[in-house]
Amino acid sequence: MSVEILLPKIDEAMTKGRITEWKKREGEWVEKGEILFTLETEKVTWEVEAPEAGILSRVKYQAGEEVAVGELVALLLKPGEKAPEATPSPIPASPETDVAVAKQEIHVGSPAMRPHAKIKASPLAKHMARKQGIDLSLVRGSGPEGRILKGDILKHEEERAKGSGKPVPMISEKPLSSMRETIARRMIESFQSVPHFYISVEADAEELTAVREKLNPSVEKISGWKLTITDLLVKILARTLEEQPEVNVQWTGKGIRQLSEIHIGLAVGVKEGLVVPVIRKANLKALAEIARIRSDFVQRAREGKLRMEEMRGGSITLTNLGMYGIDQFDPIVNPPESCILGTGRIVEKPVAYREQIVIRKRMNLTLAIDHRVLDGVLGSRFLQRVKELIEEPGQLI
Amino acid sequence: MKIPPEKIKEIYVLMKRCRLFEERSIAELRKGMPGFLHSAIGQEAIPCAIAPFLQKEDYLLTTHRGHCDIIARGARFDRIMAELYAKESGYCRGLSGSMHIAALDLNILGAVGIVGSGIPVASGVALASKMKNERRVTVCYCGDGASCTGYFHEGLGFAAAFNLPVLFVLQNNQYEESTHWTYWGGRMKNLAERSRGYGVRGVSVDGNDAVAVAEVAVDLVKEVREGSGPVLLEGITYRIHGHHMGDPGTTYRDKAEIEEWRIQRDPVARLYARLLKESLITEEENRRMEEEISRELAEAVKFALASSEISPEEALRDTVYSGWPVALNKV
Amino acid sequence: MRELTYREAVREALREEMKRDETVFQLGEDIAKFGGAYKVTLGLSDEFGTDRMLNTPLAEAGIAGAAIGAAIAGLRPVAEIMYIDFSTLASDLIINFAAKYRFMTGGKIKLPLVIRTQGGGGVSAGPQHSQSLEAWYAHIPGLIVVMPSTPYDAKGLLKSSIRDDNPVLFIEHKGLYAYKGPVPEEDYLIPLGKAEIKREGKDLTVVAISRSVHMALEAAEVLKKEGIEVEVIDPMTIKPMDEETILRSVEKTGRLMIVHEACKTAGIGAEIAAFVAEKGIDFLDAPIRRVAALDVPIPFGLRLESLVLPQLKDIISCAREMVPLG
Repeated sequence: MSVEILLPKIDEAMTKGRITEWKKREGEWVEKGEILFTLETEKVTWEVEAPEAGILSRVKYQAGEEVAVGELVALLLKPGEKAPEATPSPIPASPETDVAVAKQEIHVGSPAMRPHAKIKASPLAKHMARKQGIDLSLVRGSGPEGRILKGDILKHEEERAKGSGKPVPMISEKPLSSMRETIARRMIESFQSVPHFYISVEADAEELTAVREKLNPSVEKISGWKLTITDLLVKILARTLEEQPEVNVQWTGKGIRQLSEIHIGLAVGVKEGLVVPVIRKANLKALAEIARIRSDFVQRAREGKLRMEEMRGGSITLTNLGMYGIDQFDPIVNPPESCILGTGRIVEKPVAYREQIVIRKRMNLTLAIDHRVLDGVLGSRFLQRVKELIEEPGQLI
Repeated sequence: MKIPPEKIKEIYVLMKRCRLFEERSIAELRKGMPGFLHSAIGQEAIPCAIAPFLQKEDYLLTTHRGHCDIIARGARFDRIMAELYAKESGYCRGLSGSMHIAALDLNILGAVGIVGSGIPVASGVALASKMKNERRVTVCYCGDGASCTGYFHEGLGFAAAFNLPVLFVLQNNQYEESTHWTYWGGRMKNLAERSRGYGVRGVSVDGNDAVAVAEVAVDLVKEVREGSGPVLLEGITYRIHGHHMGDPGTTYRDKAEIEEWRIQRDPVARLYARLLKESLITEEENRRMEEEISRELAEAVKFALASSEISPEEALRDTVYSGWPVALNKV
Repeated sequence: MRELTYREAVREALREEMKRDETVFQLGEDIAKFGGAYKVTLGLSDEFGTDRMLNTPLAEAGIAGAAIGAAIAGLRPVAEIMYIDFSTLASDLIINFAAKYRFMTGGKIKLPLVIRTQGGGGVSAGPQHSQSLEAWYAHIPGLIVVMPSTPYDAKGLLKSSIRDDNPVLFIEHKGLYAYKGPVPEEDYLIPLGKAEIKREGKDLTVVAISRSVHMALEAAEVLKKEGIEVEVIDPMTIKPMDEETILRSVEKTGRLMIVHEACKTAGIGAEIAAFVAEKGIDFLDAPIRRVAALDVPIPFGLRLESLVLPQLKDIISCAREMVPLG
């Protein structure tokens, strides 16, 4: 019985993925569990394994091609077996498909229409369309017999940028990676559907920086990693959520779900964009442990080696642009979380402190809130407490 | 000129070496050696009677039927055998096989498979040595078939035009593959006559009488070396086997004819008989010589079998061009 | 800079190389006092004597054979075959001997010979005296094929060819012999195996062979006025051809046209189209086009000839088809 390899659905929001590299060749024998190909989806690279042993056959999509979820990608045949002729019949997906679909045989959906079939386009235009994820059936061709040329692709991109409402720069030559496309999509989703409001406060950061310096040697000795302001902020957020569980909630579309555990998402910038790995049960973890987890996340994020499940389930996201010299910014909520904290740089300023003008280290905190879930009172109380803990980190003990 | 006895003996030894080599190579072919083998059994007298009168620096070009021609000039059994077996230790590193053996250290410049094409090239070689004021003779072996080609005409024409030091030796084994030369050459007494058309001296001799060939050759070589211009020497001989070892040679020839040339007119037996008569050799000596040569041949075969084939990368490294790379991927 | 005709440039290359290396000599029909059918070698036998400038019998196979033999024996012959159409008579020795001899001897012998010949039409020379047969020889492993288009190129490439240790087929163009161009006084070489971008442009790559280079440059001037910027590449060495330069150009422009006087079918344009399609398919925004002679013998008479051989207007109209307006 031949085994169908379908494009697995890695997370709920996923509708398609891009095959980045085939690890096995057509005709090659594959052992059960061996990696067949790597898949680029929403911010992760997923390794699709063979559910059974067999000979890899009928590879339908090559590296670089985008495939809809559930599409038949290849077959695994037993020796001497011939591939079946008929296309798989449409059977509705079972609800448990979002976990390790590649490890099971499931018939999902009917094969999506192959792009580029019977549409006249120059090889260069086809190449550009493939790389940028453009459906050629939507492009008008100006070449002979309606052939789509490079200029038509460029024009299409220009028009698409104009239509989205946001000034997207003309991406004439640079192809869109899966990640960037996903980020773009989710940003739009969040920005358009989540009613944001922002509250901002400036915290005194003298104590925070002093504590960091004092604790750093011990942390380094225990974990092998340096303690950063970020680690302290993670701990502070976790503590605040512990104290104010009414902020540890999610918008589900139908209602508000109370979360029982506290997981802090950390926005990490990588070459292709942004990933948000989640530090689980941060309230229960020691600073040294948080430092270690954070370092590991950052390294693996930069190598593209984060796993899907590491980026789920956050209660709140911390995003810090302070390292880029930014004083203040209004972040965008990372749904389905209810709020996101954006921190700016720690900068020395003159402030009125104990009735004198002194130079002190200050840091801006801006909390963006999903107004459907939280109101100003809850948000302010939350931010106030965070500020308190920043200014008196001793309270964390 | 009369040939001194030791030279006659030298000729005989060379002929024995040629004969035994040819027989051994046929045996190897039957065992599975690759490629074509164009045996020169029956034609040994001509090259062996000429070689002792050449000097080391004289050039040689020969044909696809050239084993005896090169053995007479000192080519080694083991390296010829290795070449026949397509091994890297062969004269051409196994890339050519029987038909194109070149041994540069012996001034054997090679052999051709396109009949006659060596003739104008021999003229070119002689042209170079003349231009360089060398006293080299270029010996060019060809056959009766080659004398029909345009190459024969253009090559001799050139040699004549520029007075080049080439000794063209036509081994007339009487059959151009399956066609007797008189079929197209019946108007001529012999093929040496062809040389008249170029104003070139042509001499025809019984090619199976080694001493007769030697007596003529020694004078011709001297003449050519001294600048008389090209000369054509024809030796009438006979090819015992077929055109190549896959051809029985009997569909176009009388069995009786073959037997006659093989037994009564065998040049090796003839010379042996003469040597015995003139007490230049004893039966014992002959037997010992045969044993020694056979041992050498056995060693040669062992050497060839033990040698390895050239690797594909080496085979293509700097062999197609001098200094230009070739693409090694077929896909 | 002084200007020389193409023929003078070839002559100067021959003179310089014969002076530099006494093993270089020439042979061919009527090349001594008469100076060759196209007067290329005129005067050289006065300077070098008839021992180094050999007049040969009318025997192309004899000439090729003599050149090959002389090369094997250590000299560096430059043979002249009067018309490439006659090379057929020497082609067995060129293909089966010269091209293969090094390989057949296990890489031991080198054949440093040059066969100079000329081809091309446009002068009413008739079907047997106007052909362009470079594709035949480009097909044979072991041969190098060179086709210069300007006096500067002719001199530099011929010197390099004579100094190369392989059999080189140096194909001149009868219609270019009187063409004048700048040639420096000093000694210079042009390396074999490198193409030259004779004109830069961003809209269309035109690879042109021999005399077609000049037509392509003319066409480029006309097309510039229409807003089409043509990049003209002269491969100079047909085998081995500089694929890299051509591919980089097609990557830049997205369009490739090949122009040659040889007949279209199985001409060298087919090989260029093949390697560009193989290694640069994603660069192409338009199909590859070849502007070449019709697959017919080249007729006598200038008017008929111009109907068969590629013309300036053919290049221009093809370019207009390939490059979209605006």
